Amino acid sequence: MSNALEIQNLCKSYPGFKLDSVSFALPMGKIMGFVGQNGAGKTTTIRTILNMATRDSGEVHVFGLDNIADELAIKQELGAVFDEIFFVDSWRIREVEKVVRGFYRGWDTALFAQFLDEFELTTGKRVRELSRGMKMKLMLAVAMSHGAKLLILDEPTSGLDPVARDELLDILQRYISDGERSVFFSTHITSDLERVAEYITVIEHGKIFYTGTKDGLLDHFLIIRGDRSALTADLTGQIIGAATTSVGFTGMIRASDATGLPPGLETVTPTIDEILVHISKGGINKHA
Amino acid sequence: MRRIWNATKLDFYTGRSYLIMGAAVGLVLAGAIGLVAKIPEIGMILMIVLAVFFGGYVFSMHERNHSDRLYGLLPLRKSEMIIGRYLYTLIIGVAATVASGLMGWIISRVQGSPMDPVVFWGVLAVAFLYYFFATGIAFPIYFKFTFSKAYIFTMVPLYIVMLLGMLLVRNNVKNGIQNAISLIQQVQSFFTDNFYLIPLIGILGSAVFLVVSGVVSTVIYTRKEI
Repeated sequence: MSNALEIQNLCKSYPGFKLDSVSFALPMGKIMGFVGQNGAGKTTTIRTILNMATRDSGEVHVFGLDNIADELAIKQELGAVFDEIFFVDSWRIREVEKVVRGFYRGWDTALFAQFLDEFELTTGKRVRELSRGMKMKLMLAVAMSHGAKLLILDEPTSGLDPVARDELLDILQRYISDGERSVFFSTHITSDLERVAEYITVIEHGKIFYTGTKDGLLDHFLIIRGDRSALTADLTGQIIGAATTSVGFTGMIRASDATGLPPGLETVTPTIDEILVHISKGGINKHA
Repeated sequence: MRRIWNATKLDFYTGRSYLIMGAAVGLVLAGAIGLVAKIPEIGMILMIVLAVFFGGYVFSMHERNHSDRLYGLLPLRKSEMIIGRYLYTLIIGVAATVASGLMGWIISRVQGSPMDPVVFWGVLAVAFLYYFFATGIAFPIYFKFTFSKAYIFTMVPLYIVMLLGMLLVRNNVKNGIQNAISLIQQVQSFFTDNFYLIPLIGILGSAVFLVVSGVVSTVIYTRKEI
């Protein structure tokens, strides 16, 4: 299976922050969720993919092409949606098309009209008159009307109400249904990923904590709960992000460490949310 | 070339509201002042000063609307975006100069005293030069910093011109008013004999400002993360 997006050992430093040897690959025809806390490096990674930020080292390939050397060719095939709309707020929707279509060889006016119709966007409306959900749909309509084979979305669902989020996720699922288009989707709303993402990459403090299938991620870790007395020194060393109370503890371990656990401990498959929370806690977090 | 023209078009759509406002304010205000003062030259120069002011607002509009993300996404090189922006300002500069010339001509006709062709073309050439001198200084500053932070510094060209004017006046007053009049007469006589030099100086001087500024902007912006 070829990759729509492939990143190898990507490094990028800012004062107080560093993307540290980030590597992952998004197979063609799939949706990958890119998750991490605020400030973990999601937006920096996306900005580097789009060559809005210059990488210090490493490689970024989109459809096998280098993102800097072949930037123009890549951007013909790539669409993006950000958390904030990037069209001028005084433009009418028909003007958005007039401005953008000239840049894309594959722009399809009929398809754009079809998306506007489907998303209930009227061409006479100004950008500033649109709700947040509608703005998101407008960015998606533009991204999908020039034949983009890779959609990059940076926190597209933040600030959307549940209905708008649901609609957006439906659109993304339909978008990849032909198997030739892919979506790279950064978010910290993990329930969205549970629904649509087949692949997940978890980033924490600029480093990739996990990359692979969603099922693999869920199989990779276990939530463990038990009496405080069962929290031995050996077990403490294995736990990621433990939280203790006066009577018990809860934490996360790697599934491979689950053999040989003391009896009486309860283990359950975590949700993506729980995995993120435990990763962010890192060490032992004591509560009285 | 198609991408550059599209970038220029994008700028026109972005700055359109300010351009319309600028044209309206320019024609009314500069025209009125020129008429009231009975000095068409003042209206002509004011028209250009306002064109510089309103033309630069495209940076403000882009900044307010997160256009850096749009530019990061479009299949467009940074250098092409910059050339597109300079093409945008060139078109505005030419349009404003034409409007300024028409205004001067109309005001002088209304007043019934046609302007001396040397003065008329001289004012237009100076106005054209000022436009590109001012935008030539302002644009690299806008590309380096944000419009909101840098706006105050883009008034520098106006201050420089005013300062030079004051120095010239003070120097002439010291040397006697007769010398100043004599100097003006000499200049006027030179350009009457070499009329073709007036537009040539305006166009060539503007082109120099534009090219130097464009190169500086390109160096600044291509190194900048958007």
